[in-house]
Formats: sequence, C-alpha cells, structure tokens
Amino acid sequence: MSCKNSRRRNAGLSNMIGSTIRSMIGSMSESIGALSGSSKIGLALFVLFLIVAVFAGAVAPYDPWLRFSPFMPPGFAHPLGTNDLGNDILSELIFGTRVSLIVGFGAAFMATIIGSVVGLLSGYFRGLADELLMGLTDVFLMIPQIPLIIVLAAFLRPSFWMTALLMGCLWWTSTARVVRSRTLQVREMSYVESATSLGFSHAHIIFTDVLPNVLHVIMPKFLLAIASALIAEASISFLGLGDPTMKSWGMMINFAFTRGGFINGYWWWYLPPGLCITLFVLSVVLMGSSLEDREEESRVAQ
Amino acid sequence: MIPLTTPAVPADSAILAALAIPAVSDIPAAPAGPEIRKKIQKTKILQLSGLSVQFETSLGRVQAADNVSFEIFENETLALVGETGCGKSVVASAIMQLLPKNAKSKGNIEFGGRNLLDLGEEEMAGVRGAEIAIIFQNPSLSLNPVVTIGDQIAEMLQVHGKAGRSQSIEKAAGVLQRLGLGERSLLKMYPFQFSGGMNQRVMIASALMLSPRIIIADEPTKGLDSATAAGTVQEMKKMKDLSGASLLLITHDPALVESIADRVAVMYCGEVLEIGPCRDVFQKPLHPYTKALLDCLPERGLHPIPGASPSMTNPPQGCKFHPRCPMRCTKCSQSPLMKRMKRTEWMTQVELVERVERTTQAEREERTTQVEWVERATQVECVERMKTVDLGTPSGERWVKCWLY
Amino acid sequence: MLAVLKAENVSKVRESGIFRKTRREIFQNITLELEEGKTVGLMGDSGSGKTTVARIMAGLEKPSAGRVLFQGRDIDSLHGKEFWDYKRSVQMVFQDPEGSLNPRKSIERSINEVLGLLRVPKREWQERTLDILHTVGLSEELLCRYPGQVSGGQNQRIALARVLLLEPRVMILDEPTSALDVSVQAHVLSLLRELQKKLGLGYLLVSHQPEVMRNMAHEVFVLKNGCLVESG
Ligand SMILES: Nc1ncnc2c1ncn2[C@@H]1O[C@H](COP(=O)(O)OP(=O)(O)O)[C@@H](O)[C@H]1O
Ligand code: SF4
Ligand SMILES: [Mg+2]
Repeated sequence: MSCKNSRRRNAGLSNMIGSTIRSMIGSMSESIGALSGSSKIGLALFVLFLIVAVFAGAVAPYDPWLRFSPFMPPGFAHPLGTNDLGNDILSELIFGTRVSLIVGFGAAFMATIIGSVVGLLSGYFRGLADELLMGLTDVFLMIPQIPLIIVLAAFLRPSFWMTALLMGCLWWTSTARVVRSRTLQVREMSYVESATSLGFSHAHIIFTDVLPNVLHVIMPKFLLAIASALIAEASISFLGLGDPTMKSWGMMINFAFTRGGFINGYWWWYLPPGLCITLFVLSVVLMGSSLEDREEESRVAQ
Repeated sequence: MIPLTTPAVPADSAILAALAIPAVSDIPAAPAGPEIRKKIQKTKILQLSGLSVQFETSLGRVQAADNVSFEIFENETLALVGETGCGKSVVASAIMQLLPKNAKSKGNIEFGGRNLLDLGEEEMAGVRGAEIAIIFQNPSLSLNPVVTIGDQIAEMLQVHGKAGRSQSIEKAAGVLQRLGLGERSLLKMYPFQFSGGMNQRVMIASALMLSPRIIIADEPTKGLDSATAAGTVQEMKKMKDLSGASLLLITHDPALVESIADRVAVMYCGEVLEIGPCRDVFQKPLHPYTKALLDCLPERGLHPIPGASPSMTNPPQGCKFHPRCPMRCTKCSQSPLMKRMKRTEWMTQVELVERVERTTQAEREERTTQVEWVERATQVECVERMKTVDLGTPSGERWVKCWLY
Repeated sequence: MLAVLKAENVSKVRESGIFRKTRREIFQNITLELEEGKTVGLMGDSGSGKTTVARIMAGLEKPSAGRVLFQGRDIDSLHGKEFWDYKRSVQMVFQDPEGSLNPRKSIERSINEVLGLLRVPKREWQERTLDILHTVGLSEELLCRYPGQVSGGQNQRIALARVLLLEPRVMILDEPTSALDVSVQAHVLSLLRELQKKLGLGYLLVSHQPEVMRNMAHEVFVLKNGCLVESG
C-alpha cells in the first residue's frame, strides 16, 4: 500500500498503549508548533530549566555540599556568592533545580494519571461509576489541601518523594473534572458510537478513540499542575517542613531565612531561588494557558 | 435608499416605505405588468467583472474565485449555486470586503459608481449594512447571546448614527412585525429563547433595518431541517418583497434555488459556468456541469457526477470540468470563454445536449468509464442530428462558459 | 420469510430532570421489519424520534417496552457466538460525516483496526483493504490521510467501508447524506443502491427528504405523534 511510514497495528493492549504514547508525543509536538510569541519564551525558559536539571552535575561549578569561606558576596570564583556554610550558591541553585523539578513533575504526573483515569472512567461509563467517582472527587475537593500537606508533613517528616506523592494524590480533582467533561463530549461523537456498534472492546475504545481526543485538555492541566506543585513544595520547605537532606529552591529560601540571610541583607542568597521559582512558574503558566486558549478556540471553531 | 420608488425620503420613513405595502399614495403599487418588471430588472446595481481572489496557504495558492463576472439587477433574486468549497462565500466576502488577510483580490466590483475593491475601510463601513447587508449561515453563532433581540436589531440604526435608541427599537418592532413576530414582549427576549427559525428572522430583520439595496444571504438554510429550511425560504421571499432590495442567495442546494430565484449563476471550482433565468436553466441546462448537478437531485434520479471535485490548489488545466465532463473534446484542454447565448443558438444547442444525453444515459447507468462515453459524444455527430425546438420565450440573457457553444 | 431484524411493539420514554420526574413519551408500539435486499424508509419531523428508532434497532439503546428480534430471537437473549452474529449482521451508519471517523487515526488505521477485530490474518490485510476501498469507490492514496483531510462524502464512504468489512446483512442508515451536498448525496446514495443489488443488503433508511425516499425505499413509514404510519 502507498503508506510507507505507517506501521501496522493490531488490537493488542501493548500496542494500544504504544500508539497512545505516540499520539501523546504527537500532540505535544503539535502543541509546541502552535505556541505563540509569549509562550515561545515560556517554552525556551522551560527547556533551559530542564537542561539545567538533567545536566546539573555538568553545569554546576562545584559540589553543592562543598565548603568555602561563608557569606562571600558574588564574585569571580562564586558568581552568586556563598552561604553561611560556605556552599557555592550557584551550584546549590543548579542542583536545587533538579530537586524542585522532580517534585513538581512527580506530583503533576501522579495527579494527571489519577485524574485522567478517574475522568475517563466516569465520563465514559457514566451511570453509577460516574456518580461514585465524582462523589469521590467532591470529597477530595473539600479537603483543604495545603494545610493537610503541612500537617502530614509535620507528622511524617516525609522525604521529598513522599511530598510529591502526597500532592499528586490530592491534586487530581481538577484534571478529573476537565477530563470527564471532555470525555462526555467525545463519547457522544459518532466515531465512538460506531466503534461500539462495530463491536470493539471498551478498552480499545477508551485507549484509541477517547484518550487521544482528550489528551489536548490533559496537557495544559499537566503543565499547570507542575507549577502549583512547585509552589506548594516551596511553601512547605519555607515553613521548614521539607526534606532537609534535599536542597530544593524552597529549602534554600528557608535556610536563608532561618540563618540570617534576610536580616543581614545577603540578597544573593535568597533572591536567586525566589527568582527561579517565579521564572519557572511563569514559563509553565505561559505555555499552559496558551494551550488552553488554543483548546478553547478549536472548540469554538467546531 | 430606494431611488426607484422614493426619490427623497428621510431615513426613518424610508424603512417604512420600503416595508409598507403602499400606505402613502405617491408610491406606485408593486410592479404591475411584465413591462415594468422588465424595466426594473434592467437597472444594474452591482456589477462584478473579472473578480479573482487568491489565498496564499501552506499547501499552495488557492484560486478561490477565478474571473467571476455577474451583475445584480434592481429588485431581483440572483442565486449563486455550487458545491461546498467552490468559492461562493469567498465571492460574498469579496463584495463585502471582509476577506481574510491572506487573500489577494483583483478585478472590479462596481457598486454605485465606485469600485468596492478600491474603497478604504471607512468608506466600506458605510456601505456594509447600510447599502449591502449580509446574513450569515448560522444565526445562533452570529447573534450575540447576551443582548436582547430588540437591542440587537436596533443596534444597526444606532451604529450608523441614523437614530436614537428608543426610536430604533420602535423601528425594530415594526420590522419584526412585518416578518410575523409582532408581539412586543419578544423584543425583550434573548436569542437562546428563540427557535432557529425565529433567530433567522431576527437576522433578516437586522439586515432590513437600514433598507439596504442588496442583501446577501450565505447558505441561509444550511444545517436546518427541511421544515425550517422551507420556512426560511418563505421568510427570504417575504423579505425581498417587503424591502424592494435585491437578494444574492448563496446556496449549495439547487432545489432551494428553484423556488425562489429569478436568475441563477452556477459556480464550479472558483468559476461561474452558467448564468441565466432560473426557469430556463432548470428546464434546459446548457452547461454540462449544470446538467450533471441537476441530475444529482433526488427528483431527477440521483445520478452522481463521475469523478471527484478537483482540488482548489491544483485545478485541472483548461476547462476545469473537463476530467468529469461527458462531452469534452480536444479543445477542452484550453479555457473556454464565457459566451452570451442568443435564443436561436441555445435552442439548437439544447437539442445537441439532449441528444448526447440520450445516447449516453444507458452507459451512465452501467458506469462505464467516461472516456469511451466521450468518444461517442463527439460534437460533429451530435450537430448532425440537431433540430430546432421551441422552448417558449426565454426570459433573459443566458451566458455559458463551454466549448460546446 | 423471516425478517432479519424486527422491532416489535417498541416504545420509548425519556426521563429527565432531577429524580427522573419529567417523562416524555417519544413513540409507542412501533413494529418494523427489515429484510435482506429491501429498503425500508423512515421519515418524520425533527425530534419525532427517528434516530431513537434507528439506535434501538442497532442495539445502541434499550427500548422502554417491546423487543427487538434478530432472526426471530430477542436480542437480549443472545449470547456468545449468536450475539456476535447479531452485532456483525446489523450495522449502523451515522449522520455526521466528519464525526463518524476518529480524527486522530489515519484512514488506514481506521480500516485496519476493523480487520484486527475480525482476526483477519495480517498478510491478507492489504488485499482486503484494497478490495473494500474499491467497493466503495475510493482510491488507495487516501489511506495515509486523516479524516480532516478528506471530504465529507469520502468520510462517509470510508465509514461505509469499515462497516462493510463485517459483511452485515442489514444496515441502519441514519440520515447518511443530510449533511452532504446534493452531488455528494447522489454519489453516496447510488453507491448504497448498488451495494444493495450486489450484496443483498437490507436497509433502514432514515431521511426527511421525500424525494430521496421515492428513489431509494421500497416501503416508507412516517413517524407522526409517536405513531408509525405507513405511506406506500
Ligand atoms: N481564509 C482562507 N485561507 C485559505 N483558503 C481559503 C480561505 N477561505 C476559503 N478558502 C478556500 O477557498 C475556497 C472556497 O471557499 P468558500 O468560498 O468558503 O466555499 P463555499 O462557500 O463555496 O463553500 C475553498 O477551497 C477554501 O479552502
Ligand atoms: S468546455 Fe468541454 S470539458 Fe468543459 S464543460 Fe464544455 S464540453 Fe465539457
Ligand atoms: Mg460557504
């Protein structure tokens, strides 16, 4: 046949997931292509942070735990100076990027997966499943989230993995709602009906017909979840409830605060992590909202 | 406003004059005999000549309108028919100067002694709505959901600075009443409280507010079920009779045209292929495409046109219909010219076309390849068999763009 | 002759609102029979329940009362192979041409997944695909495209091709051409007529155009005020 690059696919589950991932990548690159001016800046920033996080070891001038003389202002050897223990702040910041991003991504990933599954199932099956799952969602929505995380963090003294997991488990509700409402629309499309009447299984329909057409509402939600997880992690760390063995951006501010950085006006200590948090959140929000706008537009166009 | 009937009436009474069945004595009654009717039809109010519109797209250049020429006379309904994507809406947008930025247009759109293509944005704003109004396809998308019906219709007058708010609402009520929505409480309602057909009338009413000389209706029945569509057609007719404006009706459905239009222009792939009085075109389509399109109608046997619509980015050379045309000959790889048909000419040619039709009908049913079909339908053979038949008096000029003629 | 598919005294009531308070009877006691090689037309105003009748007969919706029989047996009582047999034999074609194919699957994938469903060995896929495309009069160059890149009529023919792979015996056509241009409508309807001649399919054709019915249907019913009226 004339399609050279098309792969034959059968109905096996592994293939379904494979093709879903493919279309996920497809929708991601499609999304990037559609980004506009300000959101391109967002994307550039985002990629920069990603590179820094992944190659922290190569980018950072020193080991973040290495000690030099303390309270050095920015200079040639230490572009952002050193802190009270004499750690190089630029290196701390670079390794902190990795920690913060892992928490952000981890939490967002959890939230997106749980939210998508709940949303897809309740939207697709409707009826009792829908009522139960949406009831559950409402319960989770009523939980005051940040206070709960703080309380749990205080009691459990969790590692930063736990924090990520915890946030993920609490933050899926809005994703679930959005996915559900989109799923409700998609399942009314005649291609879903026709797949049903042709005799395809529910799994096949959910993975190949519904999910790919819901992905574009999941993506912006995922991005925005990263941003809010990052902020929450920073808040918790700032309150001193974070994982002290992992220096995230929030933890750096916390250290600066508790060890006199603010009082003594060592701006090079607390300003950079604050700036990083702001810039990263900005980059994510820029991308996410432009994706949401586009989704809105395409819906109006329909 | 309407120079024909009311030489100098202030704006507000012009609307009444346009809508009223003559209450004022100096307005002549609706055109009486065929004599007057003919005279009215002879007044050209809009003339398109050689209008071409190109779009630059990522897939290449789209020639959405190619050398389109037609005119609209005073007080007539001209239908523009063609398949989806053939460029009908583009022509409408070109007249209104509402083309998107990636469009390039050339040619002439003469209206009131000016070429609309040369007008600036400000001058054009004075023409839109006031002199040429357009009714878009989907009433529920074109109406503002949070503004009351009354305000929405009245807005037309206020925007053009013709009247104050209360005055214009008064007028809106009047116009709606003419269209059969007399109750005043309706003015305070919102579009979502109306049915599709009622919203359509609201659209019509706001088009009528400024008593334009031309009303363009772009697919007014698309997406409506048959009952509502029939109702809309009636509204359109009523609207035209009430306002004395000319109507340019754009549609993909030939069946709709038959019941309302005076003249019809058939469009294919950006070109107008045939123009003529509606009755004549439907009874005796001259252009092979017109014939084929009409044969698609269920009441004429649902005969599909062989082949598929050409792509707009890469249309066929020469006559754009030739890959699908049952009557093509060697000349058809060159572009035919639009030819004005004299009555005697088109009587004999009709015979020719009919003749070709008869000999090939059987084969068409068997779905043989078109190539063989064309061989047998050579012009020479058909011309031999030509006979003169009387078709009655043709009711107007006929133009055809085809090598057969 | 035993009808392939029969709706027997079927009624439908829709309940809406909180606590399912508002009940609206859409139609009552409708009996319709579909046979192979015959077209039954169903007409009615918009909102009269034509689509609901079609969906009930296709098994996509349950009637409030009455039953649907497949070869004389209630479809609710069918299991295993018999049920699959019913599923296969009764197929539905939907109204909107743009919506009847998943916009994110290439045409080829849309067709292949049906072949996968039927457990056709992979080496026969190509042949079967070309075959079915030929049947519906499409060229194979469409295979790499996505539904948004082909026209409405082509979309509808691809939807038809997918359904035909299952070798159904009756097809339920819910306004298959009302969203299409007249020229495309002529294409699709004459294709349907041809397929009926060739494969002996039975149709339930839902449409609101009397002219279409005159051309296509052997028997026409009109749904009026919730009752079925025969009209020649
Ligand atoms: N903004 C645009 N950019 C590029 N191409 C366009 C644009 N608008 C219309 N076209 C193309 O012009 C042609 C005619 O379109 P249109 O006038 O909308 O058709 P119709 O109204 O007859 O259905 C189509 O091929 C369409 O793809
Ligand atoms: S010019 Fe030739 S190909 Fe074109 S319509 Fe006329 S006969 Fe057919
Ligand atoms: Mg259009």
